[in-house]
Amino acid sequence: MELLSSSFLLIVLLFALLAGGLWIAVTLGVIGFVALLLNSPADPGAVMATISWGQSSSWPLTALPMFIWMGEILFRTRVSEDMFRGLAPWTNNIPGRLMHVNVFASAVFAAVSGSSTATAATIGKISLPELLKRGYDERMAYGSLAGAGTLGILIPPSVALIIYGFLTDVSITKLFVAGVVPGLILTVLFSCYIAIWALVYPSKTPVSDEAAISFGRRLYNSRRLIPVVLLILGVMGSIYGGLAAPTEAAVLGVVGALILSAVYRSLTLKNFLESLYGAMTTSVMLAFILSASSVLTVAMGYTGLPRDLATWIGNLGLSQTELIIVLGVLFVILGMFIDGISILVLTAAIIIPMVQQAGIDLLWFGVYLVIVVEIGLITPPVGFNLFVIQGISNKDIVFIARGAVPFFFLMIVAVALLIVFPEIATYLPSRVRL
Amino acid sequence: MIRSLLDKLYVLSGGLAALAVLLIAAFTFAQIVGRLMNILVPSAGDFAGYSLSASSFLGLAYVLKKGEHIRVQLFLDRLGPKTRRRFEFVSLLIANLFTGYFAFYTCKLLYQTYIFGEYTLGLVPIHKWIPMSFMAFGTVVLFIAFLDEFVAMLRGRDPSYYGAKRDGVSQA
Repeated sequence: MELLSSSFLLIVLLFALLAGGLWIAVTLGVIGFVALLLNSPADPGAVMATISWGQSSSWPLTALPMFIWMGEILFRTRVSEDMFRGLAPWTNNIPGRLMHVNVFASAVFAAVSGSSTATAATIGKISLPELLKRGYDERMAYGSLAGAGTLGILIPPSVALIIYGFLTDVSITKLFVAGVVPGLILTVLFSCYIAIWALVYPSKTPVSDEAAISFGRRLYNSRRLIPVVLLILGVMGSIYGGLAAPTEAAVLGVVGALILSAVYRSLTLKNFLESLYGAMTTSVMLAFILSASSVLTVAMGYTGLPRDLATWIGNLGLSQTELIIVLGVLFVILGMFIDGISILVLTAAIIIPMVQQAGIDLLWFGVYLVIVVEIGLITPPVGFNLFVIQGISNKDIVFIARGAVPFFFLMIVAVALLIVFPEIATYLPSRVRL
Repeated sequence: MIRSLLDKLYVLSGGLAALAVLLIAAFTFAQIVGRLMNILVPSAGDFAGYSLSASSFLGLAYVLKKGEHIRVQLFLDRLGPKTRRRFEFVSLLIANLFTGYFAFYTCKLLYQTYIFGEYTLGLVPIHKWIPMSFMAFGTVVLFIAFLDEFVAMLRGRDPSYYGAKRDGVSQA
């Protein structure tokens, strides 16, 4: 009982510090320190330094800055413009036409980018001006970009999946394989919704200003997609083929992106340094949180909170599905207020033991968690994809969030599908020998 | 004088952090090329890991100055300037105590490792204090950076990361 009340105090302190605006990494570190001080016989500072050192040089984690760097390089090329031009002709016969480019381009870029905000920013800087210029519905343009941009962390490579794998010791390669089908399902769901919406509100899609293009002409236009497709094949192919570890594939991606950037004539020293510093900045920010979270995980082990929680949930007699749904609701609520990485990190420290105890497959749970985290990207008041689109469009965040509401529900549908048919995530990894 | 020295320190350690990211790529690339040519590049993965570690700690202060260390801004943004300053003050106070404490212990760990003369595991063992020194250096610079902001607030100025613009792209 005493144990429970001190754990309770820790959790209250955690949320108070987070809400008060203390840096998230510092918050996690402080909570870890207090938990160690109360529960561990060892010197908290010594434990913290040793753990931080031990996890900071993890080889699997080196994939993180490399994939981020690759995205940063591509962001500074005209690859997004080429994707728009290459994909646009194919949407001409689908209801909603160019609106689908938001979805398709996001899905394609997600396969070279590990970040959802980078995906939304890269695609949005071209697609939003083009759509609005042609008179497409503004709300839908923002909403579909916000929604489809979240594919960045589901379709591998994925920063979130790397972090989840690092925190839970699940193979990153397997997670990357597991994310593919759910990502494609979401892409199809988004696109179907846009088509249905366009049929219901025909006036919201402007009349086509382009003459009918022949099939051959379309194919010719698609040549612009070749560099990106080659990059995807090279990077993800080498991982799936078992030829390269995720970091190695990411470095090949960096080299490929640099070559692409040179071909596009955007490889200036300024762009190179900006992309390098951008990658360093994001990776340092993430590493700081991960370092603090490793301390927190160990400290939480000392408090016995995860174990107590697992026993408590066990005694509630929830079925696996009920537990998953309860956790999902909790994450979606948390996702409205804190960012996805923090959710992942807090989950790893407190909830993973419980999930394991309940016999839930951690590989499946990783994919589930990432989709739930994606939802958090488009829910106000704190939703980073909304912030990105706000940055591009200067529109009110409430307006953008409203546009994203249908996509919120589509992601809930995807989550439901994943619960009912877990094979969506687990079948492919079980078929690949890694 | 001190001002420009401090700023140079943050820029220097940020630059080294960026260089370390480049080194991760270099070591890993050497490993890939080596494998294609059937040459074993010894400990390339280990060195990539140490580069990551070095980068992660060396960049801490630089990233703070850029305002990129993530925090929940939701409530802060809704506060009036005066209340916000109070919250900021408390945050900085906690951050100073925490990073100061942490920096002390990373230095202590570094010192112990140096005294015991530990080596790293792997094909190419090196003195463990060498890669570890970046952690100690980076955390000390972070502490200095937080202290710097704290002093600025005591003098009635706003923290320097207030002005830093978030570009959104670099968020995960």
